Amino acid sequence: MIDLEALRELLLGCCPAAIPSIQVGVDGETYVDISQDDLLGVVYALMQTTNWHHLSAITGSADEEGLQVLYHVWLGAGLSLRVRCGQEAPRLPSLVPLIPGADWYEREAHDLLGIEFSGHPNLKPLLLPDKWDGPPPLLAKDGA
Amino acid sequence: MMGRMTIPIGPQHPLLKEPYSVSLEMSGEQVVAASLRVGYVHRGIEQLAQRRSYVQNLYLVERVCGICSHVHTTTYCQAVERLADLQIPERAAYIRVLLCELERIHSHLLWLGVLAEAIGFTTIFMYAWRDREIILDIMDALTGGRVSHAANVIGGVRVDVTPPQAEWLGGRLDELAGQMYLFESLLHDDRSFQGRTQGVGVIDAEMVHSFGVVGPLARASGCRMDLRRDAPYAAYSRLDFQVVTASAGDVWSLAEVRLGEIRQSISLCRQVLDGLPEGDLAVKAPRRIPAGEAVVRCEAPRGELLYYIRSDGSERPARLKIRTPTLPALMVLPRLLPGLEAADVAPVIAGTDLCIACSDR
Repeated sequence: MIDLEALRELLLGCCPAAIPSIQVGVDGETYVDISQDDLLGVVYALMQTTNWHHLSAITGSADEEGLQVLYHVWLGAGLSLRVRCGQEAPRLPSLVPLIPGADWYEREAHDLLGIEFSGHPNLKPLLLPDKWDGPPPLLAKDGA
Repeated sequence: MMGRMTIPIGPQHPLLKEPYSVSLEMSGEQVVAASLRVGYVHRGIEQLAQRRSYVQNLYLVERVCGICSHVHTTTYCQAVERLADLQIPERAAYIRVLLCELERIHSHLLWLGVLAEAIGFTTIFMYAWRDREIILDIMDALTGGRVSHAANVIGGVRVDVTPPQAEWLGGRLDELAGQMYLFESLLHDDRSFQGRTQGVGVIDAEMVHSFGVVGPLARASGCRMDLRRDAPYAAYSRLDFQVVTASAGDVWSLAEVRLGEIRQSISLCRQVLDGLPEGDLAVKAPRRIPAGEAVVRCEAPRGELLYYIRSDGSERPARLKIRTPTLPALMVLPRLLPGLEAADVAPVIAGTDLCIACSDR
């Protein structure tokens, strides 16, 4: 299990503007909502902890409020950082300068949801054909 | 200064078992740069899942992978069961472990065959795949399917293991355990196998952490990550096993880890057969899954498999995300190839045990 007190302290140190909310889900995963401005700072701070292991995945999805992106990390237990952005021209900072392994996960989110990752060195299609001209598949309306 | 030449391998190529493309920039016999392209078998499974019911998706996710199909449904079912707050019967948890471990043995033997063939050991390839048939026979007898088993249902399992089946299965596992010396002697005594695999394609701990490499690839570099021990699911917390690691991170270490894991998996299967609790096979699951989200990670044969499901309370998931363990292995592969002689490219690619259909989804 993640030490929630230590996590709260770490978040207070790197998110001065807003205190992020922490919830433990039915799945035992710890979810933290942060703003996109704090993303790099929080990831960097987590990487300095002894429990840091790796970034497992990046999940983007669309809901009624726009887009949410979850960064699933493994710290000996699961932690997911949730960042929200609008559906119009979504843009997030890239994690690649901190974690080279974020590369393909961001390219996939770019393919499937059209999210731009600023600072990504090579944001080319990963799964979709180079000449894909349809909407990002996960944003397509049913039947598209 | 020798001229440079680019060799494209794939998407269709005899060396590759599945479609992807590796482009090697060569200077004489030496690789100087490598790049990779995937997506040739992208089937849009995550998008499709949003249009299927939770039960239909069980059969869809089984088809993400043709080797580790059972662990996909196990991970998917666990995520749905967490959302619906279902506690599966103990007997079902044990049977899930049994099938997961049988699958691990067959995946590792398949890998050994592919590696052996890549370095010209056709005999070992034949033996490994012959002995893998023992596991496929067991799967066939237990579930009715060699590759797609449809053994899991949301809330438990569909298949039981009867006492006569358990006895027969134990005998087949003894048969397999008796063959393991052949592969272990290849590892420890065969100088030409060692010559082709030792010091080749080294993955170090820094690569493991920065690319999130998981499973046998991470354990061969001394990283003791194994979700069966770190975050036990199904019945793993009641069973005894060791996390097998090695230190060199080369292709030989990958073989050492995987062969050690086959031994551990055989032991786990025996423990399940000896201690199989009585009881039901499944609990009833609702058609509509309560709103919420769940992240579940399981230890697939190739390492951490992650499923994320978000439910809006309807009969279909609002989002199903699958991250298979091959993705980080693919990211690290272009870093392993530069500096290699052309002849070592095949064992290094085979060593990483890529599953392209899994990673493309």
